[in-house]
Amino acid sequence: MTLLLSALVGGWDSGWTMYPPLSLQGSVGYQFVFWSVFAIGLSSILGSLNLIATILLMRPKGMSMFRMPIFCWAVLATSIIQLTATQFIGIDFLLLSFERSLGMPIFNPMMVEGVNMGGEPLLHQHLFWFYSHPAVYVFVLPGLGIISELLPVFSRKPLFGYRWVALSSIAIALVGFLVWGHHMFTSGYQPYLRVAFMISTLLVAVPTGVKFFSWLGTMWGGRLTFPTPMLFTLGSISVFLIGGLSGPVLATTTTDLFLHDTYFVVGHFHATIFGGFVFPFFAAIYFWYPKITGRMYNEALGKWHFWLMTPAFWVMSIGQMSVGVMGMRRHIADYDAGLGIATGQLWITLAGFVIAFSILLMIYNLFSSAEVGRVAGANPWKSRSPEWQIASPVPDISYPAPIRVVGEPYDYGLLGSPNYVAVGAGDD
Amino acid sequence: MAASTTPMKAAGHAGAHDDAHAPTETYAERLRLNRLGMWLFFISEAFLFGALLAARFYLWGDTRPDLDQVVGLIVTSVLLLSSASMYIADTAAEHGQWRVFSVAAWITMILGLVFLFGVMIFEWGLFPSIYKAHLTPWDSKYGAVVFAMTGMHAFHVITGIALIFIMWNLARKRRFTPERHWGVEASAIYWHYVDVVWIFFYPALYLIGSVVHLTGH
Repeated sequence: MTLLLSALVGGWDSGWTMYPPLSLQGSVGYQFVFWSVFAIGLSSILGSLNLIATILLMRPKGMSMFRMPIFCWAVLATSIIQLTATQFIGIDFLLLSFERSLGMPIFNPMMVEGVNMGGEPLLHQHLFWFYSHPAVYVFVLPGLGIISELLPVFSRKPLFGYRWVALSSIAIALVGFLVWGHHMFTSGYQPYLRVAFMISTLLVAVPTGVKFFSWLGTMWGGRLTFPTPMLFTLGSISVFLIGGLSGPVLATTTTDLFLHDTYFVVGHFHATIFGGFVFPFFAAIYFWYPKITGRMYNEALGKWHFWLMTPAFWVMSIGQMSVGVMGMRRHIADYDAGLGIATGQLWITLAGFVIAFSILLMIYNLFSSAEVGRVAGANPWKSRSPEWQIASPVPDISYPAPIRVVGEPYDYGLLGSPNYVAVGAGDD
Repeated sequence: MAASTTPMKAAGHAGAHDDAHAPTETYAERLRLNRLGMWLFFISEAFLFGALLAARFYLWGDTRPDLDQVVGLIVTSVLLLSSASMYIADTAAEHGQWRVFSVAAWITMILGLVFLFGVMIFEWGLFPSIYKAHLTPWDSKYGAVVFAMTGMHAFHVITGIALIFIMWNLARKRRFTPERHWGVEASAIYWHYVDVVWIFFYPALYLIGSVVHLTGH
């Protein structure tokens, strides 16, 4: 609400990064954004605290940490980030507020007899990116968790390397705290920091690679079926691969100096966020839709959504990267016709409209299928997870008695493997 | 699916709001959760204060303002003493010695207020008739950081005192027993935590770096 109100009282013209001095001189709209960030930040801190405590202490009997659904590991890693890093943006925006209202010189320099007795604008960038880089992993980690969750179901095979996948989520979260400086390669900070941040940033590729190989290993030799959620899962892997491969190019200081603030960054970011968040989000919507509504979505429309969106996305994100390499800069609406990127821009725009249209298809699908879709039954995907062992939609009382975990979560296709959960088995 | 008729886990906890379907927790389970939640909150807060420390070291480096060392030593000692009295209060609650608890809680609150007024009078100069402080929040990065750090810490001291007062009042109404006094325990560890933060803030503000004498004022 305060974020929307901000637009009415002057908005914020610095973009979402709030770099001073612009954010110190702008309208009161900035203050509204700060308030909204405080409110959202508080709620995400408390929410992550709740999730961590729930995961650590409130698991059902028999569910050891390494028997949790893999999505819970992703949520745990995400919550660690939200619990801690969020405080940094809180302090950062609090100090910005103080400097705006009281004139406390934290970010604006103040020269007295040739000595700076005031603040440093770069301090904002450090505080801001210490939060905001881990924050993108808050998007991506649950998405990657959904990929790992869905692939075994549609491959009818155990998740390959469960423990490594679980720990790689934690590793991504922790390494994410060491890489904020790669947003600042061109900011003019001490040059030796560039090397450290380059190496730490390249390290992110290691746990991410673990996940990629686990996905390939899970599918390898499996009996794959391709309903819409599986298509979107595979789509996320393909798109996230584009984002992943363009990452080290930007992490390497020498190449980043040329590509900084170009459309190459825009293309990279779209590919990681669509591959790591938006595509898995759609996969999750289609996957859990029958559990939520009790009815099946329209499979044909779902496939149309996928086959329109995915190629269009490849065109858009690779197109953004290529016009970026040719000199298109971020944050500006027009460009020099002499750059020779007009055709590329046209393709990007058309692809963007195709993506938007495909999402309209999904929205129509979700609303109409809730009324007319065929009744899905309790477990249309033959999943082993506990939520599929009860009726769809989920009844008020999930289980008549506490459940007990007696098997492994992803033992698909293994003969003689016990069920994942049993209801009311044994005494506590 | 076959509905099992296994009865829910019998719990000895007769909560005020019994949900018919939620498995009720025992007090011990709830206590474990509460303790974990409290420590997660502290981890989160460590980053809040850590961000302020980061700002201090980024802006000041190896310099510091010319703060009154005697004042710093006294307020720090007062705060450390208050942790000792809070420990006595917490231990008394564990043993059901509610008179001792009450006295120790009041000593803690008074010491906390002494710390708070020490900061407000001598560091912030809120009462120039008593003491003229030379730092202001807006004249230099030194004043700005001192006020930001001590302000955030003082805010926590105030909430700590409020918590202890609430717990004292609840104890007066006999709401706690030696077995069940999570509120007392929580306010005690919160108070110790605020104390520990000051142990990091005190050297960062008063001890580390060479003194810069500010001109004017």
